[in-house]
Amino acid sequence: MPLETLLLGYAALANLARASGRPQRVADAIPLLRPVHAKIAGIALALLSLVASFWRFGAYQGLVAWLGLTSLAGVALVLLLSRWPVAALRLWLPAMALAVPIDLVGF
Amino acid sequence: MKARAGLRQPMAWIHSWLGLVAGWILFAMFLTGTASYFRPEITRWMQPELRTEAAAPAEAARSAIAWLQANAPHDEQWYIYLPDDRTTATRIFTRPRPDSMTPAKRRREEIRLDPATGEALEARDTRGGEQFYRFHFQLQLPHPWGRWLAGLCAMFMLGAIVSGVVTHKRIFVDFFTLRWGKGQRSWLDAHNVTAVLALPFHAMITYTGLITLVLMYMPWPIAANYAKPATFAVEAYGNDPEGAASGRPARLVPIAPLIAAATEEWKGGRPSTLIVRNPDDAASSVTILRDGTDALNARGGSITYAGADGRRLAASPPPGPAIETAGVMLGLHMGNYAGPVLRWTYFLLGLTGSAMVATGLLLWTAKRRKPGATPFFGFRVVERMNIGALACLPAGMAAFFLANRLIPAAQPGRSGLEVSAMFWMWFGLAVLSLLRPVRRAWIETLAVAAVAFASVPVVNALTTDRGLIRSIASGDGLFVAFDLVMLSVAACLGFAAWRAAHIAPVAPRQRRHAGPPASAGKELADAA
Repeated sequence: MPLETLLLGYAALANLARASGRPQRVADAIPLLRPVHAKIAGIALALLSLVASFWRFGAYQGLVAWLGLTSLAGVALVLLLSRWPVAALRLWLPAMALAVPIDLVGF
Repeated sequence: MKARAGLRQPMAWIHSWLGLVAGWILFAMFLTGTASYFRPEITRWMQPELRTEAAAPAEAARSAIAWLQANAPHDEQWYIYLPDDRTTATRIFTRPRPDSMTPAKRRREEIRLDPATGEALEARDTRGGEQFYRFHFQLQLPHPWGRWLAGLCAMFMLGAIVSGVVTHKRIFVDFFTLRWGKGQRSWLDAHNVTAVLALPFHAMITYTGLITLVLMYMPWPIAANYAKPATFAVEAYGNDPEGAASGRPARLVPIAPLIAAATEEWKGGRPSTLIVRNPDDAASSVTILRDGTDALNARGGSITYAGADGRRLAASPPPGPAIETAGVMLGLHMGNYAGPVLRWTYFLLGLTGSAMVATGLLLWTAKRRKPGATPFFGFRVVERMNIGALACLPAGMAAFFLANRLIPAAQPGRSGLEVSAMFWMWFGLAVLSLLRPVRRAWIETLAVAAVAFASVPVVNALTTDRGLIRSIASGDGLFVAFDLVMLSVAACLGFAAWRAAHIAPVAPRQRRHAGPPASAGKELADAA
């Protein structure tokens, strides 16, 4: 099941949310990353999810799939942020870690 | 900067009123359109008697032609819709030769066949997923009024999207903001989040929806350039040879080699439909249409062969840029190309779109509600319409599924009764809600909708042998998924009813310089 785009998109948006400074109360929730680093990591992960999407869905569906799955990841992130902000931001690392074996194994 | 601020207020006014005027119809279009991403699956669920397995196209075509040769050998045309991964039965219908007794172009009733054995399948009469699909752009109105109204609402939606983007001052700052339990502020957050996060989807689905019927909405370019619209169709899509019968009887060549030849010419593309003309005649022809699910372009090509000897007669021309673009837009809108993951993505983003329209409608009332003051007439109308659309339509959709299981399978005219059940539930509940105070009406209609959806798996288990437990045991993924979706929708609606019952009214924010109440545009811009 090609879910790595979704997971990488979630990780990217979680980092961008951290970098946006909006969830001030949870500013330290993302381990290891300060806002400026979170922004760079967010953009890099977004690009990575785009590459993964083209890799998995092919040339003609890649962009469509990336936009759709990243939007879904965003909805999930915002819903989680509204209730469990710390957990929502911290989830970026497991999401990214899970994306790698999914991509490699092709699950 | 000042010019942009000046632009923002009229845009906010446009956004507010376009969204309100078309909102209820747009919600219905979004919700039923979202459901129709699973149109074949809904139809299969609504005919639980059918347990066919998918078969190869050539095998299904062979068995269908054998059935037609035995049962309708002298009809003028045969239409054969081959099964695929999502539709496991072969669908066929025929057109008889026009004579003094039979009006021209009348089609016989559609029949479903087992693709492996070619036996006619008996199943309950239902419109299935087709009901939601047709409703979402025809609105159950006579042709062409439903399509015109749907198109008008889609144009309003496009205008609302553009004006909403211009209006939204802090589009990136508010990207991740959703605050619960803060009254109007929460509705604005929810509206922003559902709109902005899925903005590419909303813009795409609205624009491509309009383009799908663009020739109907803007027929003048064709009228100005072609004496007959049919000439345009031939030029754009190719000429499908429709020769007359020769009067000399002949049998069709085996179909499998023709399908193999077409598949090879399409470099592996699957056939989806066969059209056989004059099947018992020496001048017979077999047109094979390509399945559009393996490309973004929903319009696959076609190849026509002589039925008597298998010669290749013609093929549709390669599409030009405009036709290709239109085909891709249609494909993007319908999502037929999408595999399971992308189809679920379409479905969930469609629900997000429905939520965007719903929260926009609720925001309109939240902004104008004044505790202690007598609401003005328009406000009360909008409140009641919101209940009728947002809570009662889902109840109607659940009633459609329940009617499918509760109306006897052999009842004549049962497919029409199912549709009637949907509308009686929808509008009946909306009328009944008028008898209750607004707050109670919200709670009760949402609760009824939740109970109705929760009942679907229960009634399914009681009236068929494909209940949730048995489906899990037999590995029937479609029936398991359907029941789980019904329960999930019931949980969401139940949660909404619970929130409506327990949420404390939030006093509106005090403004130091409150503007006149009619300046809706300014309020929206301020809030944004």
